[in-house]
Amino acid sequence: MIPGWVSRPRSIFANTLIIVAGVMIALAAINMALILLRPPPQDAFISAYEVARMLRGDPIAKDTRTIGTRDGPLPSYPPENPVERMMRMAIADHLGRPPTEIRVFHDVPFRATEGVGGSSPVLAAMRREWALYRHEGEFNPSMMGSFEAAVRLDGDQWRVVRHTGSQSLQRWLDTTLVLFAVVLAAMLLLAWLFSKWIAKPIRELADAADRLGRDTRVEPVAVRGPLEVRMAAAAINDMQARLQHYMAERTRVMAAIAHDLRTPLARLEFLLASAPEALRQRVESEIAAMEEMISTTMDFVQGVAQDRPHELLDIALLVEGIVDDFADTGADVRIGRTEPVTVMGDPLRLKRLFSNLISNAVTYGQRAEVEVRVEGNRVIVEICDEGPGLGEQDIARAFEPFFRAESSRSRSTGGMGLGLAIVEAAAQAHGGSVELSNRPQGGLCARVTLPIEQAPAVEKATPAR
Amino acid sequence: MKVATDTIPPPEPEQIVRVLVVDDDPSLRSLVRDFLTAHGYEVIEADSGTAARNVLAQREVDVVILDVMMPGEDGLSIARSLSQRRDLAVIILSALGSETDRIVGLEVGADDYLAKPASPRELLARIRAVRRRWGLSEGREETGTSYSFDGWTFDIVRRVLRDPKGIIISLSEGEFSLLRVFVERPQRVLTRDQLLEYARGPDSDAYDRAVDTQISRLRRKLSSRTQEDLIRTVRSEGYMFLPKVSRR
Repeated sequence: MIPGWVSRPRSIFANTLIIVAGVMIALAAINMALILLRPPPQDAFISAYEVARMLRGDPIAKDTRTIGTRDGPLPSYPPENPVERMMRMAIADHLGRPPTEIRVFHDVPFRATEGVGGSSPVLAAMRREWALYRHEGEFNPSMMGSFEAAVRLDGDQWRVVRHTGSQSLQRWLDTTLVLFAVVLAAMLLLAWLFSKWIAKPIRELADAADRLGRDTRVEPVAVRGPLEVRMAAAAINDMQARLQHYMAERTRVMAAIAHDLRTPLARLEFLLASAPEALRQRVESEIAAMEEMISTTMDFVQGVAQDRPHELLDIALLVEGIVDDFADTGADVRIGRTEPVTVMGDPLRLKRLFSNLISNAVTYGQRAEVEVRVEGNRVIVEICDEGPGLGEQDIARAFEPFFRAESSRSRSTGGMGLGLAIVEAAAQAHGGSVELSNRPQGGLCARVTLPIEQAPAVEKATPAR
Repeated sequence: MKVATDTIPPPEPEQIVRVLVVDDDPSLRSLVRDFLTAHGYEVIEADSGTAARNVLAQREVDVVILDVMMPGEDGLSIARSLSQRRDLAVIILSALGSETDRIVGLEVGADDYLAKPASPRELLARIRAVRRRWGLSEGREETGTSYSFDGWTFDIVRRVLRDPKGIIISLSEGEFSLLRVFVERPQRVLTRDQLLEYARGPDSDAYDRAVDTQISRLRRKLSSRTQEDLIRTVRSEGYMFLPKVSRR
């Protein structure tokens, strides 16, 4: 039924399990392989006895290419650490010289912390060897890496032996760290792609549900992605179908009610034709009020349900036209200078939107000042009055259907509380919004924001009817 | 010519006008009949589409007042089948009052569309207006009225004006009526009085002083898109609509 079902979709659960477990196994395997396939290089250990031999000028059994000897003044070494001290004692023993005539400098990166505090296992082992073997002359600790050892010859002359440890251990450490970083980056990229892949259909679903909330006539949601998302999409589509059906039913019922109410009103009109003038005028104004309520309710109901095409129109001229209509009936409505602004919309519904707002301003605020301006890719229409404004609580609820502010309820200004609900529905149906605010200098401002559509560059030969 | 809006002018004296009232509501039908008879019309009633067709086949009728929502054949379908007849006018009187309903009614060929509850005087005024237009054009006007000029299109039924790029330019009621007068009588000098009479009918003087204002607004709207002035002021005479207009 749905093409995507051919290759059976897996659930988010299965996909997540497969990907997360896969990534963890891969990470562990790569790290293991790095360590096993590239073992750290071994550096030679040089014992105190061997150092002593070198200081005496005797050969040792190890590769001596990394060892240099020179005579001269004593280089300045930093203060001795406990390991260096042990080494110095051992070398002094092997040479048969007092320890004061020996110097040891362990030239390694971790020297500063080496054996500090006496807690290092290396130092502890050295101390045990010292305690057990020294009296037999067998205390012979070793050093790894670069170091220098010196023995006083006479006066200020010292013999200095330098062993330069191989750099390969450091290099191994560096390259291993780089490899780990590369693997980690690859895994992060994978995780990012995976999260995107999981989130995309869910986000599309959320967007679709959001659109559905504004307008029930949107396209059905595409049923694709992981199993759970498909199920949710199908459920949303079902809900949309039911909503559409409900809306159509509501519109049909309202139309029937409107019809059944208007026929007796029409009879009343004709019955009144022969009534006394004063009575006729009063009853006719009541009929007009009832008719206004019926048509407003129909507008509200049909606004949601009616499917009229959106067309390119000049919003500035549309607003101007409404202002002119109001001005022609004697209302105090003014508009500032405007320039052409094109939007995509239903002219009838937009007319209703702005005439409701202007009519409110004129009714509750005596006069309306209208301004049309462009901000970026949106057009803002502001309708301000000089009335008492609205309380903050009333502003929050003003767009609710059938809501009427206390100030309007107590007056004889009529209305059913649908005007602003119609305005908001119309603004949202055009991808826009409307908000109310009190002006600091008094009066209420309604601010409608609509997206601008670029006017076509090429002239259309025959516009659609 | 000034007529107070709340008194009913005497009926047209020259000839008896026959009105067919088609509505499924018997009491409304008889109320309309009583009212129109009192104003000098000859009224025939029909309670359904079928009955209306029988009457139309047998008798001469000048004006049909047509309900839309009726059991059996609805008013729109009757209006559509009558749209080719040049000897009678159709006014729809319907409980469906939205702008869309009005457009649909006029597009199937009705001459006018009136929403219930309409006041009896309004119905009378519309019958007279239809008859008057008929008198002016010697027979019923052609339907499907849409005009084009200089790349613009003007749809009378939908009340939609489009600029040469196809963008809708909204007009106020007054501007709409004036532009309608202009496109129906292009390249002719029209005086203010003529414009008023054609635009509002002879019964109104309410917008007298506003004609110049509305023409300047209309002119500005027309030129805001193409920078061309389509309406020329003829000093001390009136106004002239310059472009060639073709009717579709």
